[in-house]
Amino acid sequence: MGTNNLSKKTAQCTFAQRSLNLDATPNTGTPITSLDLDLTVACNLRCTYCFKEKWNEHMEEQVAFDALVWLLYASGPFTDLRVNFMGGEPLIRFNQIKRIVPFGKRRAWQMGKRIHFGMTTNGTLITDKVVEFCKTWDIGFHTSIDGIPEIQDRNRPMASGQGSARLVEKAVPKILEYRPNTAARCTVVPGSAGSIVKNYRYFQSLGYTNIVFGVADAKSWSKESLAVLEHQYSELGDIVINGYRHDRFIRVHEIDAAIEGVVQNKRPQHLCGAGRGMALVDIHGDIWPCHRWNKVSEQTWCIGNIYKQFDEMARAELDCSCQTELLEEDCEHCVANKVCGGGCPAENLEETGKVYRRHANSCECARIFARVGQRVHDVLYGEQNSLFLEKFYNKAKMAPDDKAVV
Amino acid sequence: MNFESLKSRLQHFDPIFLSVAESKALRILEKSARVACDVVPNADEEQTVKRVNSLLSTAWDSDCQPPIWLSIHLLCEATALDGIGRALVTLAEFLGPAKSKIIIHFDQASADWSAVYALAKTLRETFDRSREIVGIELIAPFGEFHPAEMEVFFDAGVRIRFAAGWTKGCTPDQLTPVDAGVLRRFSELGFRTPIEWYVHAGNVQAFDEQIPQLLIENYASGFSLPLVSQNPYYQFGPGFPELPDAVDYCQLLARSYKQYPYYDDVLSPLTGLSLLVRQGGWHSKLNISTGINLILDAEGRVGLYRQSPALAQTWTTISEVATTPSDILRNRFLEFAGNVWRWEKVPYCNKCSWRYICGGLDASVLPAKEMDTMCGHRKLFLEHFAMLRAPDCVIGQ
Repeated sequence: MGTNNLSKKTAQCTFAQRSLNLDATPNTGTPITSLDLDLTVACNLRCTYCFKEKWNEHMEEQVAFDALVWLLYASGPFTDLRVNFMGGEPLIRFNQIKRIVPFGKRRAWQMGKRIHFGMTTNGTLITDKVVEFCKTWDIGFHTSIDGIPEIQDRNRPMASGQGSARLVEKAVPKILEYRPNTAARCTVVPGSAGSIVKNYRYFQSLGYTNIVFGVADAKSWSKESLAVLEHQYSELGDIVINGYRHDRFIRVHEIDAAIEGVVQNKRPQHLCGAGRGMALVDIHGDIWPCHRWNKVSEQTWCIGNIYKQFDEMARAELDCSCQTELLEEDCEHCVANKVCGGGCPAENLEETGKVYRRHANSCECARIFARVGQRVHDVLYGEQNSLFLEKFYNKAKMAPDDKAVV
Repeated sequence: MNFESLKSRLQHFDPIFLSVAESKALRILEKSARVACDVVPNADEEQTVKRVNSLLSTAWDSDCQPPIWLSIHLLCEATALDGIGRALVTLAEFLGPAKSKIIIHFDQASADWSAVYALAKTLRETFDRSREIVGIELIAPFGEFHPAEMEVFFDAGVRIRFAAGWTKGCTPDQLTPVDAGVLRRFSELGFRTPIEWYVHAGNVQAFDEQIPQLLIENYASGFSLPLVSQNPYYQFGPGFPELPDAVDYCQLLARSYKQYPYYDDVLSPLTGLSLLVRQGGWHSKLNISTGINLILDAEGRVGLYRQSPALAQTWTTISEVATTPSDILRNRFLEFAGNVWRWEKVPYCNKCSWRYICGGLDASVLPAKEMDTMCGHRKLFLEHFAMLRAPDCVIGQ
């Protein structure tokens, strides 16, 4: 269904007639400095919670080249730019990546700019050649991996139905050897909530030092599963505290973000960069606020096309100076007030029909992270743990007067 | 405030007076564009004269001089001459802090790229200064693409321009064919490959027709629209195309500038003109224009010109450059330039108020029509850029 609709949409603009429109860049508002590029919508996995509408279509090479040139202009005076290959699984298009990365890096250099490339990959197609290429061109990774083999195989099966854990386990050491700080991005659904601690230990055993637990599918969480989540997170908090006591730092994104919120002690102004400094160009050259946002049902959020126009009005709702002021929830007295920027706007849209309204379960998850983060902070701060202070306060010991208001 | 009276009292500075429509102010541009100030209608005349006097005299004599942009053009035949590498290094650096660019022109679609690469590599290894200050550029109607060599070129900081419109050997009614496949491959490697469309009387329409497709092939790398007389293989005379009409050329530039504003950083001649207005067109301490063009030909001669290599005045030779210490060469150059660039030698420019910004035309006996074409667009766009420039001060506010 998606294929047909999107094909219809671009039918009046055949490839041969397409000419990059450099007027289709922001005139007002925030220049685009970070671009997600959907090289393909095809994927070799069939993750149970995947939000992408899938069909077998790739981005034509010309569109990829043009998208990079578009970014160079859409970024205005900014010179440090980021491009993240998304999909589908971007490594299905490794041959294309091998052509467009040198193009982007060199072209940027000739225009006095720099592009840093990265990719979000499921890891199953990582080979020595891929790693070698990434080393040469300084490409970063973000690995989507759900944890212990049992969960990985259940949630992220191959298209054939077989498990993917074995392939991922083979790839991870290659990735971490090259880029030790690569994040493991673990999607947590109610069915896997009880395994967070196990997964954490599994990631640790693979060598990861940077872990992101992303809660998905807010609607499907129940009171009971949220209680399990809190219990697991609480235990994870203890592990993190213990790690600091033994001078071991493993980044757990949600806990660290909560601690940072406590330290900064002020409400974040934005949910994320979607539609502001960040955009996605999909396989047709359509521009969207981010990679979560290119569904047929979300057409009103399409903010243009690199061959046609850039729609300032369509992104105006996202490109504002303070997004958190627009949230419909009463956040003033929420325990997550200093941590939560309002969640992922694309998820909000999907779950509540509005970008500035969170699902109640998403709010509860944010509160869980905030509570755990606060506890970890208070314990380690109270102990004046030097590694902790160095990470979050950028000093080894705090003088009594310097103590943050917590 | 009587602006006419003010103008007459400031005339000894040879400034340029422009009217700012929006504010009804009078813009006073120092004769080399070092300073721009706006005088509002209700300003006091005496105080204004005093202030402008101070500004303009200080600007011209200032120790802070505008940068010199030195373009060293080289015919491809000269790349094989003995001592060429040494000579280029000396020339790129002999004027001190000048921003230098070495531009190698090719008249054919294919060439011995390995020799050019060897030269580029030697130059890059020998320069004391960075590739941002000393650039190397190839301009050719490329008909072939060798990925390995071109990657090495890229790594040596070489830039590419794709010659089109007219190249050596084309008759006035012939267009240089652009090999779209080669253009695309250069661009896909990562080179920004602007089309260098040499404009003459017979190819203006062809440009309009071809450029949309060429911009697809070169991945929006942009284009330049130099006059055909800026091609070093061009001669004024039979067998060569005529320059376009001055108005046609101005219209082409204005049209392209408006339609493709994002390429203004490569759109020669407009980029150069905008720099002159922003940074100043005359180095008063050295008494030379801030835009200097040298041309090294196949016989090893080094010529100096303002707008057209065909009208270059021979200054020295490559072998002499290669063997002369920089400071001596510099003094000889300043003496030579001071002599050949005396305004009396170019009656066309001698009374022009823009000459210290524009740099002027070359001395020649060309008909007025040709001179008008070479001059008209310069004045038009210098004035445009002068109006775009933010004033350094507003008097009377």
